[in-house]
Amino acid sequence: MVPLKKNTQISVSQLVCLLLASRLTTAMTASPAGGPAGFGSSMLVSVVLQIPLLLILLLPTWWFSRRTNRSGTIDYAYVLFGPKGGGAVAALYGLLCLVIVNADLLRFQTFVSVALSPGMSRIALCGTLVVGVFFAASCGLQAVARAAGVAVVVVIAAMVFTLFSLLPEMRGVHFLSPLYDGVYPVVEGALYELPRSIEVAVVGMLLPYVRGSSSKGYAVWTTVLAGVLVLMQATITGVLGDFAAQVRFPYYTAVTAADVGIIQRMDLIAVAVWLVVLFVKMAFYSMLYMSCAQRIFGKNRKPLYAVAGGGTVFVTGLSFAGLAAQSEQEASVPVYLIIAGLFAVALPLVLVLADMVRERRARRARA
Amino acid sequence: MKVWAILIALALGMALIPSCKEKSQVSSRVIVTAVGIDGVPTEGEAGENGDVRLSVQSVEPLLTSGSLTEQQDNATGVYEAEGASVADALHTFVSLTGRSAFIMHNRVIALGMEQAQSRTLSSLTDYFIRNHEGRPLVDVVISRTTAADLLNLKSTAFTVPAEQISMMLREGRHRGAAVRTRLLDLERASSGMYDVAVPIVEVGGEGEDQTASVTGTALFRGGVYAGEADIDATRGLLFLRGELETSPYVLELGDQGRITAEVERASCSIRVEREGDGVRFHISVDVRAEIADETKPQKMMRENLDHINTALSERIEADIRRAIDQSVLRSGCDVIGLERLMMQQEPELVKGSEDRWPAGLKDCSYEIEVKAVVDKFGEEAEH
Repeated sequence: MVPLKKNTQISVSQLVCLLLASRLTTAMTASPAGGPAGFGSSMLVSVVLQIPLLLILLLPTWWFSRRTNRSGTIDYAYVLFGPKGGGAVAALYGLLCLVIVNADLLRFQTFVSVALSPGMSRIALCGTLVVGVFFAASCGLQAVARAAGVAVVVVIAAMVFTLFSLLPEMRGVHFLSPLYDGVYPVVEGALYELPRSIEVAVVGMLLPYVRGSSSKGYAVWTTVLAGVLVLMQATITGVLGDFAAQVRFPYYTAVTAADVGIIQRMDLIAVAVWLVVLFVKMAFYSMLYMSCAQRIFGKNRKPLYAVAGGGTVFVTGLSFAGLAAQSEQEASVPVYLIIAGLFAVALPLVLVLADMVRERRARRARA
Repeated sequence: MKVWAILIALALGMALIPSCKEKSQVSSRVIVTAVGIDGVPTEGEAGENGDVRLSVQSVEPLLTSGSLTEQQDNATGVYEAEGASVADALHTFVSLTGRSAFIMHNRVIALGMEQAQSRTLSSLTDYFIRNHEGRPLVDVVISRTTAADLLNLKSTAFTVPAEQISMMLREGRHRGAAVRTRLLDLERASSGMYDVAVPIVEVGGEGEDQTASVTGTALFRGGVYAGEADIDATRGLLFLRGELETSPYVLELGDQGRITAEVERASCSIRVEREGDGVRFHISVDVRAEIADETKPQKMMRENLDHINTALSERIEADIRRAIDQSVLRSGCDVIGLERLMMQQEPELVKGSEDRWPAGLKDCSYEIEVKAVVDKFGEEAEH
């Protein structure tokens, strides 16, 4: 099988940075409200337990990747099902990317209105962000990936610095045995965290864009991710303890307790780095949406796709802002779990099975 | 062309952001540095109707020129406003002064003793916890009389008087005389992990001679006032919570005169042990101290080092016992976090019987072991 490679490619390390930046955006503003993040110490184990679960989720994509010599799921859908079937898969991916960008715009609005400044004009803020994001997306995958590299280094450095600056505010009594309430909360926490790694849904689509082994990059991502999430959870538990379950943005609340020399307010730095990774994530998925649109409608109308996508995100983002602010984050967990299952498990398996059927038919025809 | 269009769109968007658009003038705000909460006196009973009287200590931006430390006169003033709640009183304050209160630089929340005893901590501080401008590291303190007395205290050493209160609490904790409680501690305690202790400050003297000093610690059980710990018990609490940094002990050694031993380093470990159906807490404190001054020749003192070590250990043990007595046994407060330690070390004792604690701490036994060693004699180090 001749691999269907793209002209624009990124390195494995850039893939890791893109996936990390995307996942950290969710992690930094993850809310425990009603969810198991409030379990504190048990989440330290839950986030590590996520690794094998994420690796299991990758297995269908990995099988697909090996069988098709690292072709992308969209490209291979075009090969197997023709323009209509392939177009449908590309449309689904495009829609998924828009949903994710939209969810992040809602997250941004909720965070601004709850934690930062309720008086800010949502229209102006969202408009500025969406314009910036789709402009960045139009610069291409390599540009976004390079930005992700810088963003990830900055955000991890800021997190480590924050952890050390918060040491005086941490209390040993906040840490209980991770298994204090038994195994169930640990497993529940891992399952709750899993859909937050929605990046797993687009790995199949990214395969032809990556120079090298995407699977290896994915494995590195899960390991680094677990380390960073442990760091964050340790910060939250050490500073807030059980109180973390009562606040909407525990990591941000913990960071506001830092008081470092002349910098004093670490929360401003945390907000700044969060905005950077949020921007990178939104640009990344916007770029993927635009590549899906180009695949379906042709490559000549790039600005039109950007305007259509940006306009859709902007309008839906503003329309659903009130609903998103009132609803708890765990309401979206089953939705994201289904999405992850469809794109990371069902689609690669369907493509592999269809390929096997096609191969068998070809063999029979030759015989 | 495309890039220019994008840049113009971004510039327009930024221009619409409130900080650029609304241009809130500094003269239309007062920068709050401390807030005091008292009750409104009604029919001779302070705060009977549940209303609050706020004392707002704030910097007058129009009176400042350049840095605050270069001011000729004190650029702060204290306003008073009343309302049905803290938020309502602040609203009244805005109506009275025509200016909004900017609380991001607030350093201290002072509660009048009467309010602290009659209302829950959460009801008094909820406004500051919810407010997105509020900071979690704001000092919380109780004034023995009224919060207004504390906030009206004139400060000659600090341009912003709230800084004096904040500094007093910081130094008080450093010297083993005060617990330091911030808004963050109140928030954490609200989850039920442990109880909260708040320093009590007393204003004494008249007019220009007025001074403030820490005179004890108020203990709260579930946010409700439960009792008070004196200065010795406060020091004991600091030992138990591993927060004590330094503290002087004046030891009377009979014929050998009087010496002052200054604690230089202290560590405390608490071990939880089952004792039948109950619990025994083994409290082990390790202290290193230095001789700060003495009334007898150094040689004689060195010869009696064991005696000094024993005397110091006994004093520290007495402070710790006093802290347990006043906080756990008398007030029923778990300001040390003993229940949490049980959850860490003997979880089966707490699981399924959460209702038993922390009230059950009164029935536990406490074994205290202090090992104090004087190993420094001023400039000359022994080890």
